[in-house]
Amino acid sequence: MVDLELSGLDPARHEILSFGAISIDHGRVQLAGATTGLVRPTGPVEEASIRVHGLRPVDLEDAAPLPEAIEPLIEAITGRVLVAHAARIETAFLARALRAKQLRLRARIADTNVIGQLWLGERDGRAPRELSLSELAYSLGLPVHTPHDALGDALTTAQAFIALATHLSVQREQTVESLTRADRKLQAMRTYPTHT
Amino acid sequence: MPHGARHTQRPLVGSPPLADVAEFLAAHTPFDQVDQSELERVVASIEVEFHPAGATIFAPGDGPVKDMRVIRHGAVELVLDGRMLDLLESGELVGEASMLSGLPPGFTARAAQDTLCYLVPAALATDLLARPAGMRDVARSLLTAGMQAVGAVTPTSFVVDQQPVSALLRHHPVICPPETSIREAAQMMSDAAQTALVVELGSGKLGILTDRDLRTRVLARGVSADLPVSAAMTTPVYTSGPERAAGDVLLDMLERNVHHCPVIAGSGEILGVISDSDLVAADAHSSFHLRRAIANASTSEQVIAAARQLAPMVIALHDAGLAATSITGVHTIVLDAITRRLVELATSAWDEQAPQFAWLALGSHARGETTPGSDMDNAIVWSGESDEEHTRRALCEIGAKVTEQLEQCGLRRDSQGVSADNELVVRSAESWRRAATSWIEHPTQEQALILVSVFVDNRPVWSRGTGTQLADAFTTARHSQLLLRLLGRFALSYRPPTGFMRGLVVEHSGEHLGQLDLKRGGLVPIVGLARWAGIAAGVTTLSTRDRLRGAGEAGTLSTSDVQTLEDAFELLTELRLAHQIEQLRAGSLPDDHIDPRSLSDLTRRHLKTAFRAVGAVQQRLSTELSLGAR
Repeated sequence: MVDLELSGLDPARHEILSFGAISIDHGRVQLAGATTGLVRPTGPVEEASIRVHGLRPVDLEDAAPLPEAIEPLIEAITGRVLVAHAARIETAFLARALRAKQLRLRARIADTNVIGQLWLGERDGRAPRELSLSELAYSLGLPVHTPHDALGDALTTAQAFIALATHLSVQREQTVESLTRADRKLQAMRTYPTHT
Repeated sequence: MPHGARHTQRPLVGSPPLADVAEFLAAHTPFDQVDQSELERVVASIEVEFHPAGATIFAPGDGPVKDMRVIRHGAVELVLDGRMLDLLESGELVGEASMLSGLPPGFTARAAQDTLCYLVPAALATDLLARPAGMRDVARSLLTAGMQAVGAVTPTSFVVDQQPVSALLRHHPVICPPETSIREAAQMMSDAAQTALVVELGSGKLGILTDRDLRTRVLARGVSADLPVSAAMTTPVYTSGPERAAGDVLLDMLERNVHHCPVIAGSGEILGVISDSDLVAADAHSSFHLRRAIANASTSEQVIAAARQLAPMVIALHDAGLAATSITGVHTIVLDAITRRLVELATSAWDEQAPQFAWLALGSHARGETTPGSDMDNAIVWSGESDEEHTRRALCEIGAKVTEQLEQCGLRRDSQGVSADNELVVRSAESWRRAATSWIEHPTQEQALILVSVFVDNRPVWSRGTGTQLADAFTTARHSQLLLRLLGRFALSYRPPTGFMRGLVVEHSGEHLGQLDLKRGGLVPIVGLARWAGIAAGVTTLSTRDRLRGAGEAGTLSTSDVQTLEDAFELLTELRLAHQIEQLRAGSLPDDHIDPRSLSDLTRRHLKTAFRAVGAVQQRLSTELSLGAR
């Protein structure tokens, strides 16, 4: 379960500023394995992004640069399935950070944005196009932890993930496979909508 | 990983997301008892799990529960044999009793809604629950599980007036023989900075001289200070043993209108003198002044003016830390004084030929359990056998006049029409007897159940002439099985909340939507049980506490039931009074509807436990009554 706070959304130009990771074992979110850290950026931090995550350059002055700072995160995700909300962005930034260290991101990825849309699609017969993390937590009746704090979002996402996996399991058994392929199912649902 | 990489990490718990978790826990017991570093350890050990609505979390068949759960979000129902024992909500613990005892849980825990739980590992949870506050919780959860109660429910606030009176003594007594001069006696009091002095008259007899006596009997009358103290003292003296509860002594002092009370050991030794100011904070003196102002009023307008001090007095007593059940006692004493004076003034022009009658307090007023929000239930009984029309008319007029004046005093008229301006409750003793008999023998007639329960609790507040007690009307029937069955049924007709929303049963519609009725939901069932059990046990006094204790002594109720009901009564009275005082302060009309969300977590749990306990006693009574065991 990974969440990143970024200086912007373009992996080519922007950087990771902070990360949060929490593991899920046996269907339970393990607060004991929670990891979070700050990263000192090499370039400027866009003002617009500061308004989102609240991390000012001065807050990041004492942080380690990316290659060093990201070590605990690499340790936390090695050998695990990654779960993130709108995972495309997270994976793009992560892959880039790993490449700089001669590592490859090979993890399978589950996206709560996609799974959430799939679940709402099955529940309501219509999947929304956009689903922010807070909207998802709200739809699931779950608490939203400090938004746009990397660990807060990670915890909110982790809780949403176990709730989604549980709800979807009611219809049919869910596995890592089925959840990481939720995007195809969602695509299929959009292509061949079922009307009930 | 390079050493020192972690220095860039922020402390986990200090950072906002997990601080959220810590903050949530800190708002609930037993986590409110631990310091920050311990809380961080707890947070760092938590596992979060999700249960969809309807999912079983654990069941008796699964064996002992391994870890303790805290509900973060959602609700969990505890179910046994298809019956819901309890509904636990956000912040409440699940399964801790089974975890501690190592026994399988006595119920199935099921998610009532989609529920997020924090799992706290047994080792940490056990450690937390071993603390005093934690233990209280465990005791309560054991109650939930239907096991034997561990200890009693303790009322939330500790109050001075449950202490033995001797514990409040602050000074050595000032004692002198009767031949001491008034001057010397005054000097002794002033040296010891005391407001009273005890005079030993020999063979255990005592007199008392107070600074008020010095002013009113000596100075004001120009009595020589050289006279012996016996010329100005009061004898005999109201005294107390050292073990009596301070609250009871205070009530007695109010009743007798005395300000000082020597405390005497069994050996006869004078341990000290307690003053009303030792018992109640200085502000609460107003109860004496208030009663005096009422008694001295020469017009009903003056009584009404004095009655404005009633609410401030109750607030002062509450602020002084007096127990709620004692405050209701004081409140009733003042109501008595108001009623008495108004009836006296209303009948002041009556001559010898006028009817002999008694003004009766009914319900909570009769029991000495009124609060600022209480309705005034009252009735009139006159001696004589016939229902002479002119007598009835004259007394109804008095009833109407006094009732109206009581309303002007800010006291509420009974909403059921049980007040002395209603000719249905203005009757001769003989007519009362007939009515009582009819209600008891034909309990199915309209309102018989409620009427009997109201009229059984009656007490003459004022009487002219003798022998006109409504109590008599029921006395003949007192031992009748019919009356007891009726009271038993009444005791079961108001059930405390069993289903819950936000932890407590609330009104589902109307003006009090989402609120909890403390009176109907809690006090009425307890008072009803006490009435039934007390009368069955032959208790002649009316107070709920006396009835419960008497029933316990007679074996009508088990001692643990008595304790449970007494504690629940104390707790509910406390909550009701605190709520009404808040309303008085806000300038609104006091009522019995509280918003469960305004209660603290612990109070809400106490309340639920109390309701559950009352329900359990009712359940037993219901079984016994239907089996005809009583």
